[in-house]
Amino acid sequence: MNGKSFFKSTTFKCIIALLCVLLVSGIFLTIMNSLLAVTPEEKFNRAINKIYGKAVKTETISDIKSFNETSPNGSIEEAYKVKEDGNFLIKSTGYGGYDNGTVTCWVVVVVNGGAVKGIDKVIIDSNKAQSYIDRVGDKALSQFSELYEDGIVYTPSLITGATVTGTKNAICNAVNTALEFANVKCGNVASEAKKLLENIANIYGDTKVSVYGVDEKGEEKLIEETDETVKGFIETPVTSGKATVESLYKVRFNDGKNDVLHYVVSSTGVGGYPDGSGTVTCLTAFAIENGAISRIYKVTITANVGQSYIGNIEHLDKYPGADYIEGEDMNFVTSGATMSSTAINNAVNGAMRYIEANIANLGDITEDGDNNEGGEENE
Amino acid sequence: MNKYKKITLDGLIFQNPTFILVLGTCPTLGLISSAFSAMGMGLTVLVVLLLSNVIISALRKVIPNEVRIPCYIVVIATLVTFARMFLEKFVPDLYDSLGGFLALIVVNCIILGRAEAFANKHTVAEAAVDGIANGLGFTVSLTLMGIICEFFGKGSLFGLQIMDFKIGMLATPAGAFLVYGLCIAVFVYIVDGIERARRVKANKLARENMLKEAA
Repeated sequence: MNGKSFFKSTTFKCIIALLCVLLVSGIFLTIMNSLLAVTPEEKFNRAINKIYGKAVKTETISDIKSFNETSPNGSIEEAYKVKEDGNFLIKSTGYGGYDNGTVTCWVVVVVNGGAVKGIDKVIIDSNKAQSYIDRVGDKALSQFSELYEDGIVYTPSLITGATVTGTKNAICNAVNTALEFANVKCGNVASEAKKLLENIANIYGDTKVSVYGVDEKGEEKLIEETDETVKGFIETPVTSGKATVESLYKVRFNDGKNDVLHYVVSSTGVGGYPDGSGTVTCLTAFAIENGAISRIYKVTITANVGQSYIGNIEHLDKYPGADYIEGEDMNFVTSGATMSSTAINNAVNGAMRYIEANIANLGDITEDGDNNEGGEENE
Repeated sequence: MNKYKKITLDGLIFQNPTFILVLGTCPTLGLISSAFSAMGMGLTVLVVLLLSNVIISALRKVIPNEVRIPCYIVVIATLVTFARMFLEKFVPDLYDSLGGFLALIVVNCIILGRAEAFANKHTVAEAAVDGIANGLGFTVSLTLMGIICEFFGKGSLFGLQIMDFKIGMLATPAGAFLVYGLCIAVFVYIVDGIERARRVKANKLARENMLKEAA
């Protein structure tokens, strides 16, 4: 085929027709994009109008980036202080939605006297891959304000009236992240020690317990709320089975008859949703008798990455009920959240294997650990 | 019968894309739990279908047969992108409620189907009427099912709470599937009845004509 015949051929006509259609479409969309693009200001004004029904004066809150670096379940996109009422208007994105998507919400956090007092409103701004987002209506979103109490961590099971667990998980993560950010800005952040003691208190309920870690010199010490930093018996995270064991604390309390020793271990198991890469972090309390594990006392979930159905998990109470056999794994499953269940099993079994391998070195709480005031239970 | 009337009746009733041809089932099942979303999706498809039919019909003699499908897809994708931009700018609530289904209009069988089966063989005016008729057929079907599902599934209509009684399952895709099936059954029964009546009438007319001719 010579040059002249090529230009007369169907191939050439096809190429030209396709290029023309593409060119015209491209030009049309470029023009339309410049005419119809929604600017960030417009989006912000829409959100403000939805919330307040009028324009309000705001001032930007800074230091979002540093907060986002340490926030595992969500991120803050924008944050403002409303001048009229002093509330915080926070745009936050929650991870762990359906198909590992995200939901971005505007959250109005009520701030009074420099402290977080509640949630005024939650409005969905945008989403990624949440096909059934329209099922989360105003009725479901209003529950965030109704259920608010100091220290609350919202989970999908708390929010009723919308049957989309994954999407609800992302919304809960967005709201939790916004609340955490507001608390940070208000200076209400619990110290590392306070957070740990709160998590451990959740395990033991009303029972008064003493929690032991180590001090700067590596010596056993009673952990108190006022401690700025807190260190467990594991210096650096250790891989154990399909989990990473991050920290171990010794707990002592009186069960009415005797002083009881427990090890509380924080471990992160892999194998979670969607493709085995998701993780679940658990705090597992092990009862220790005669220098060995006697049983699992309790398992609680403290964090997760990408586990949309974590709110469905209902097998945690099976671990304490199961017989402990040295070297044997405990595997339980919640139907509908099988991958998250796997990650939890890995976290618990990893912690169990770590204790079995190191129990001789860990031992009991030494008398020296009881070296400061507040150790009433140990006397 | 006037050809425009025939095109209109075909699009609305006898070749209804939702109930007779069972096309566009993905947005149908995904969105009919809310009448507002269903109607919004229907109207968006109507506009995209009308414009794509007109453009494809106008270009039918220019576009070589060999590359017609890629060209149609580019045209449809452009129109859907434009529709998304328009809704995001002027109807943000609808844009949010349609979610991912809005972008999926690009692969809606009704639009590509009408482009291939009708628009590239007919005049611009006929293609426009076909686009409006099929779009209306789709919109009315979706809205009707949306009303049924929302009313019985949530006890509301277009977001307005009417009653406390509700059958939760009807607000899920499984319930939508059930309602969709029932609507198809009722619609086909009615259309069948109309066509039977039309055939009887035509046969009667033909018999009378034959008798007249014989006399």
